[in-house]
Amino acid sequence: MMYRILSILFIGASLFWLFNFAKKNNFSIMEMINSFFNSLNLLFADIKNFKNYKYSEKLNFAKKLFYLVTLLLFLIMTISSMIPSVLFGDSLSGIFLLIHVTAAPIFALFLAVSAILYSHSFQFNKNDFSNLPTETSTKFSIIFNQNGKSKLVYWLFVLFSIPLMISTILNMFPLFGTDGQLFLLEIHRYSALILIILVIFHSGLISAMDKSRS
Amino acid sequence: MIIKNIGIKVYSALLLFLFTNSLIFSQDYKVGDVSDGSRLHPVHLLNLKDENGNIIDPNDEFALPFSTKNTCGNECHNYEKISNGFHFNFHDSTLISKTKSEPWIYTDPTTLSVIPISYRKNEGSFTPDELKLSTIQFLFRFGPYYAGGDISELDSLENKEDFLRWMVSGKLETNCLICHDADPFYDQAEYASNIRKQNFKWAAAASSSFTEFKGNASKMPDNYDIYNLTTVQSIDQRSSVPPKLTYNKSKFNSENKVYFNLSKKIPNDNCYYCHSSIIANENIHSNWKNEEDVHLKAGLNCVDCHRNGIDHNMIKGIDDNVIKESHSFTCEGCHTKNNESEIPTNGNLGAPIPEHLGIPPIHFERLSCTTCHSGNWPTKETNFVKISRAHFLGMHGTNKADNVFPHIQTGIFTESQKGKIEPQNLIWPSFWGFKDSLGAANPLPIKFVEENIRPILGLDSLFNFGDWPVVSDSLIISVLQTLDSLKITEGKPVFITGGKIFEVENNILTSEEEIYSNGYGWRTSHNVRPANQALGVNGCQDCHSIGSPFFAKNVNIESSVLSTGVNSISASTFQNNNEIYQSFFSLTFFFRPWLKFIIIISALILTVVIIGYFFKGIRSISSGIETLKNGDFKN
Repeated sequence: MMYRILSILFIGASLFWLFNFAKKNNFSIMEMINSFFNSLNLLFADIKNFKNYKYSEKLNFAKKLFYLVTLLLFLIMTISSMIPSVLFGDSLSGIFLLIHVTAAPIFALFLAVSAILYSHSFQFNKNDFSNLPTETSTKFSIIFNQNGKSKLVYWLFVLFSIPLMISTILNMFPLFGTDGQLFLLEIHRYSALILIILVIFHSGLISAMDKSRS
Repeated sequence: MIIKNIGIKVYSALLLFLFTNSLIFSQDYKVGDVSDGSRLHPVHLLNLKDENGNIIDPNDEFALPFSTKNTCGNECHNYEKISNGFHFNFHDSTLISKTKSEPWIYTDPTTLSVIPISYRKNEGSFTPDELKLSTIQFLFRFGPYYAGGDISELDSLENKEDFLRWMVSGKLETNCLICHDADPFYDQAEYASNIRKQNFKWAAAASSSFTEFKGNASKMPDNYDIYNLTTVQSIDQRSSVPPKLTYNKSKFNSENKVYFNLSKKIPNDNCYYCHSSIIANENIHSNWKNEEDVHLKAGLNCVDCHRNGIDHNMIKGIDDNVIKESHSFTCEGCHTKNNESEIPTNGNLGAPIPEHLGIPPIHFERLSCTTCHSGNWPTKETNFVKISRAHFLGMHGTNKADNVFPHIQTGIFTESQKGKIEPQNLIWPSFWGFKDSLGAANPLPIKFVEENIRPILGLDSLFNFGDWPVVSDSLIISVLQTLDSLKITEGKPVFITGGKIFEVENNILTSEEEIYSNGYGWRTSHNVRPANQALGVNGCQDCHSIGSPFFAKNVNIESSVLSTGVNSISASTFQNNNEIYQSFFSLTFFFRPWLKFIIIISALILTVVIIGYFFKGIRSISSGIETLKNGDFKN
């Protein structure tokens, strides 16, 4: 019950932030969703040209593919888990469980490959902070600019995906009793909740950056 | 003045008399109902008292049977309170239960009838009143497993037409001995046969170890009088002996007291008389191959868990709204950790608390404990089970065949009314009835069916014994049309069998599914297997494999209509599950090792990435601080 309440509160608050953020940055939620699916469509339509690409283009294509498919799988897993657990207050079972466990290993694999492909470019640098010390002011506090925030979200996502995976994998081995299993399930659920919130932030920040670029 | 004093004394004496009497009768607890704290079991050396409260003299030629009400009750135990207990309080309308439980099963292959009966109006069953079954008729069929009291004792429940029969048979009082008599010579089968002979008031005494009894009250005339032999002159006494009870004088002491070997801790065998069950497989006649419940083997008695107070409201092993302590005596109450209270209540009687390593918690939400731990290991085909109350086990002359009617299928994993899957026994009700204005099927009176439908069907109960009889559509049509022409009810005549309701429309037999589309099932809890034989001990594939009996067991539909043929349905139907979905889900277990491998590798990669870039970041920060120290603010 607590998880349901917290999920509704935090996801609600994140969505509220997203709506306001979108308004402030002149883009709409629908635009954001359309842009995601358009990118996916374009990417899949472009697969046939993959052979003709240069090495760097192939790498870019792969990065984009892994990123978009990971997000898509995350969306599928979020829907398949949140509908029964948050909306109906039930345990994950039936067709939702089937979808969830089918998408899970692919998501894990794509996320791991995405982490290898993207981590280098998501390293923090001085351009990610808005108030670095200068000759006139040596005062320093970590204030990220939009680029920095987006990188922070990325690293938090990678970080919290580890307990998400470990908790579910430990559940599958005869190592923990009922209390332990319930504890692991809680870790899995709350890690997932954090990831959902991070993805909402990520979507907003990326869309804002796209908008400002265009 | 003298008259006035006498008046006051008489008045005071009268008040005192009334007051003390009302005190005695309003007592909830009699002297024997309250313990002085000693755990010693009191010796029951008692004077026997007859139905009139007189002490019985064993030398009396016309000795009456002792009355449990007056011998056990009256001064020592609160008979009225006990008689309202779970095993006796059938007519109590406040105890109407929607929860399906083991019914009394009326079975008659010659009328194609299998009807679940329950005084407590369990959903899907019918009360004797609905079948126009009088108490005497009910007792004739099911009385051998009825412990007396209540319906067999209350005048208000008697059928007026049976008044004289009740005068002959006497009341069937609550029989304390059927449970509490630990004497190895106490004979439940003798009690049963006496109930069948309407020897109600003699039944308890006749089954005890210090009496000898002969007679058959059901053969006696309505004006039968034990003291007036002229009333039995017209009876052929070579075949119908008037009831006669003789007490074994050597068992009585000089004060005409007799020792009862009574036990507060009911011996298991006494419970087994009514609550035996045996799987009707190849081991049925080889008792040495049949296992007993693991709790009994651990040294527990049935009543260690199924406890009761003086009100005899038994704890049934489930959470009960009436008995607040009942949870402590459920499976969970003993075998799971109690996280709610500081005072530990788990582990009762040394119950082990299982870890359930690696079992996902959803199993505890969706399954009852008995699903994995109770009954026989599931097989692809269902087994029949024989149970005391339906198959008259333990009685003299019981049919010992393994396929005797009613056919009760066991080990059907079914979603209960509370939404948990549990093993259940299952019957397919079959009866003649009529459809009321709401479309519900109500059975016709049993007597009517026996008198009017049995001759039309012309079925021989011995022919093809063991196979439930099936009849042609034309015969069913003929019976239904006859019923229609008799106009005995306002509703349309119907026949319910195999989960369908049949009726005649334009001379054609039509059918539709109805309330019994999944038969009538009730939960079973015993025998509990050892933990090493619980489902899941071999891994998930015990249930989650393609075609596993848990989800894909074939449950036979027993129908009396020839055209429906031999049908079976999947066990998934009883679980509100879809077998195709379960097969798909089982298929995922084939890939489970891959799933584990991929997720472990992915988690490792992510950990390496995080750790690697974390240290890289630390190095960058430290070099950045170094740069700042050197006053280089541009880089």
